[in-house]
Amino acid sequence: MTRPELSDPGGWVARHGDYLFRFAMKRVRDEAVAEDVVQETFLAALKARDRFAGQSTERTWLTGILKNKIIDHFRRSGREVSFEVDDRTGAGEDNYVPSGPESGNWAPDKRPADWQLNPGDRAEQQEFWEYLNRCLDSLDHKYSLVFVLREIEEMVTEEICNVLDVTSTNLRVILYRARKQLRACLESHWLEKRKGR
Amino acid sequence: MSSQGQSKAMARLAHAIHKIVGSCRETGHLSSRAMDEKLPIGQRLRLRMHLAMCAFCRRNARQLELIRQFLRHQAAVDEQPEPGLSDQARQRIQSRLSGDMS
Repeated sequence: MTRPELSDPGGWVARHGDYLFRFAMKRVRDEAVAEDVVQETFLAALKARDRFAGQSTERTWLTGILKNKIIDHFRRSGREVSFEVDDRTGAGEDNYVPSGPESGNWAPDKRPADWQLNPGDRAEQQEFWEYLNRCLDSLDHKYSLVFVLREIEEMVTEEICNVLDVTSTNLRVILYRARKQLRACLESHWLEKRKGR
Repeated sequence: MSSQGQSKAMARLAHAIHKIVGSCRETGHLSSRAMDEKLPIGQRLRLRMHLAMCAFCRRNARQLELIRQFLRHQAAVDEQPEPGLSDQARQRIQSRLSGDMS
């Protein structure tokens, strides 16, 4: 079997540009930033092309470089954001009955609805995906940074603490609130629209 | 039993159950934490027991998991309908790359 070799770098943008851009967009969620990391990836790959060992395809190799560029971006963004969260206000606790005999139960108007998402329905999935994206973009920046690294990049919490310089206590609170907001956003927008049809 | 006595007894029962399996509030936090770390055995059992008897918390946990699965699936596939590079960006990157090549 022949080892994969790199193609002419002049054709990289045409061959892999769209793929790498889509890959980056799902993670950095900003067009200009996605374009930047893709450009950085090609330039870094050009410099490092002598070190390509042929152990993966060209696209996998480029994607590996892109992943590192994306993490660098998160590291930089993390420095510009404060991950301090206020625990005392009880923000994010408004889903539940605050006091009385029902204390701690779901508040009647916050009880999760039955989504009944049909796994076989392509159109429904597409619509869900669109709303999920919109809801994700509506999250507070510090929430979405943490959430993307955990849920999309599948990083473990120690790694996230390291990349974003956030404490594990704050990370836990942020993940909880991000999930809660996202779920509520989907319920009030996507589900409401579906019910309206 | 009078209806007042009945509702008092119900409240006491609910209180006792909460003591064992935790409140929905606590379960919400545990459901989220369980997605990121392995919970200590005691909390794991409380969570499991609460979810077994509370349909709303079960829904909440399932929906959080659904969101995760959906995002991870979408991140792993390359779907054509998602837009690629704009022509402008493509040209800009191409000329930067060509510049570095020469």
